[in-house]
Amino acid sequence: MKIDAHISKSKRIERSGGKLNRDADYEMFVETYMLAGTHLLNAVLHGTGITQEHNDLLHSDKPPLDKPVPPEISEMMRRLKQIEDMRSGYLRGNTAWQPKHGDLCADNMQFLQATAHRLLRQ
Amino acid sequence: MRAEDHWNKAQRLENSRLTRLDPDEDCELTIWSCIHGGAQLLNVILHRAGVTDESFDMIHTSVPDLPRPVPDALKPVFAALGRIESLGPRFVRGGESWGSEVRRQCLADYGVVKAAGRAALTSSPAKDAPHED
Repeated sequence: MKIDAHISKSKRIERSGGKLNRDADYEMFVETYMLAGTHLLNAVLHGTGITQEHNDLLHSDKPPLDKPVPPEISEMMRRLKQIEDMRSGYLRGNTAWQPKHGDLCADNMQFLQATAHRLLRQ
Repeated sequence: MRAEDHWNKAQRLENSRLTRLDPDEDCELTIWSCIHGGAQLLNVILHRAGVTDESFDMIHTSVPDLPRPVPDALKPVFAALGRIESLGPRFVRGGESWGSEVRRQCLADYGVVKAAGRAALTSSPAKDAPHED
């Protein structure tokens, strides 16, 4: 998908997620950041020439990239994976919600946004 | 996970959708809630039908592979949830334009899956349910 479309979709999803209560709706809260973050990662990967617009990642490691990435993008992927790794317990399983993970989602998303803004000059 | 826990998780996802989100303004998260709520309901149905046990949970209709063929009685549920899942690449990952008919079908399909989940939850668990060869 085109870079602008990824950015627009990320903003839409995050805006929708703003209607959720972090603790009452923790499953969808985590999913919001996973989805919005993935769109930002794809925007950056396309914008820096690492992937083409017709090759979108579904997750930070799916499909695996076949080339190395710069440290800033590697850090984006690491932070997105932290969010993704919450899903097995909270979305699919019965893990009791820890609000600190909500804070981690929000902090990581801030990093993703700031890095995307810098790398895409937007 | 136990069938009851899958049901409760589905209800939580549905509650978030119904109480917080507009199905058109927030179509992406609406779809996503239906996909994952539907997966939870699918597990209620499969566990109660004896197709899977509580240690084997589906993530989507085709992930992972079911250990046995889908029983004929469950094919409509798989079809309904499969239609919901197909919306993910189009509207959540992709930029296709949302519309009232897509919304109607998505929510109708979720209703089919939920009704089947409720029926499964309130029925007696199948023991050594026969399966098709």
